[in-house]
Amino acid sequence: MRLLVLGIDSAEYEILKRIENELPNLSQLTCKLERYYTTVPPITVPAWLTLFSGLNPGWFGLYDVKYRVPGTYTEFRLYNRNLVSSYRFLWDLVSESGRGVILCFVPGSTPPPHINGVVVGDFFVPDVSSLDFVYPVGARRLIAEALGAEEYIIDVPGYKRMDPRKLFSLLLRKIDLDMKIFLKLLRHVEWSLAICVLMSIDRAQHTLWKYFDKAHPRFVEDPELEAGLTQLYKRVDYWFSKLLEVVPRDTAFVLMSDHGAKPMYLRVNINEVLIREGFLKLRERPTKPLTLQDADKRGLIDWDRTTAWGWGAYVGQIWINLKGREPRGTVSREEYEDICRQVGQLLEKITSPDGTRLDNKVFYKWEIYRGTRTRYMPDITVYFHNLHYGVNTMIGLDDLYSVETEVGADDCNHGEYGIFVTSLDDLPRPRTAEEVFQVLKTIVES
Amino acid sequence: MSEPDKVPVYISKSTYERVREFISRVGGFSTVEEFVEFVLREVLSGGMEGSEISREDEEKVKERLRALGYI
Repeated sequence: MRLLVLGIDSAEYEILKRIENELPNLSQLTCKLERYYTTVPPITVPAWLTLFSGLNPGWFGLYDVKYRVPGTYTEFRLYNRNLVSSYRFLWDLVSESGRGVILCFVPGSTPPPHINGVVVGDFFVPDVSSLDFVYPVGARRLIAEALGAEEYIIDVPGYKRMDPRKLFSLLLRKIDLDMKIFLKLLRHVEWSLAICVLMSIDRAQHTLWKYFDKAHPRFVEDPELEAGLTQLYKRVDYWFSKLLEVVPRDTAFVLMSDHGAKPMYLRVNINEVLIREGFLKLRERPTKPLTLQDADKRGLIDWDRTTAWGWGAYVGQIWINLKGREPRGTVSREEYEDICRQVGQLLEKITSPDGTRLDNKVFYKWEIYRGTRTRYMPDITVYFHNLHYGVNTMIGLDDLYSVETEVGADDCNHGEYGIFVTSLDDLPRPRTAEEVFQVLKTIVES
Repeated sequence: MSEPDKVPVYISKSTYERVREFISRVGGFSTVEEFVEFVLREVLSGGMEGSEISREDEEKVKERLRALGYI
């Protein structure tokens, strides 16, 4: 059976259900919309990887778009698909059976897999001139024809540098460009599986939520932007009607997201918490706020006396300074679990600035991760205040809470539920990201 | 029936049983064959430590994601 997957990164169930009457085409699917519990953490990487492979993030050793370089404390590198080239994804299964595949902008697909079909790169592509942007090279002609004179947008630039209305119109235009490319490929490439993932809604939610939502603590009134999120969904709805016109009638559809979205109120300065509680030790306190990495480069962190330190932006990700794993480990294997629980219990009790108890959730590595690369995963993951609080890892801050990091404020955090619906009936309802893959696999193998 | 693009490779019964127990406990793979193929690909690729891309390309993407607040 032919399968077309339309992915909307960060699409939130509550929002879609609220506006589905304004989406005449997508509502054919959203009337049956379900949610599933996504990966821990609810982040684009590893979520899309798990959704398309059925594998727990512990198999990949990935917990964010970046990963800590083994053998270092704060060096990191960016995800690239070579890290997961040993695994088989949905498109590999279809391609290896001799059937055609189209992948457009699927997060985690750069460098492109050499499948039987066409791959157009995701936001990890450095620029459109990169060889990684389109596979095979010959398919560039189709992309150029789809775009005409328009310049493709791989990703929007930083929102601090851009007028919000201009940013919004870029995000709308990106949906148009993405869908023009996808439609072109659907018309001209033999396919049995076609996946397109749109990023504009995720980017809009992070950068512009305060314009869309009157209840947001940093709400900004702007009549041109207040219905912006609905407008973006309506644009997707329009293009979905175009997809319906070009695909064969017996095509199965799936609409899905990798995680949800919710307003971010505040951030917990996680390393300041760990410093105050004696888990993270400094040789010298910085005179101004520094990133963890900068503090480390300046030799300000006393690793020989440190027990734990924190990473993350949307969730807290804590590492224990484990002997044998870390360069200057201080915690023995025998002490490890006990120290994890001490840190976990401390973070679970974090309150709001006025002392109100928060709905914090703590996950220990051994409870949630499985696979051959669990040694790379954070020892503790924390969702603060039901993911309405994010995390700031800077050091040298005066407070335990902040609104902004060094790059500015983020209006929204990710939600723990992704959306999933298929046009087919009689399929099991997936409850987890791993189960989503099983449903997708069932469809492509039918 | 054997597949034309595969060749037989023999492993000890005890290893086979260990792998079978591992995948039934940890999940992620449905057959011993699937898991063994994965492990061999993983070793050959270098896993997390052998999978780098050009620093220049990486810096371009890092800058963009940094400006968006993702890293």
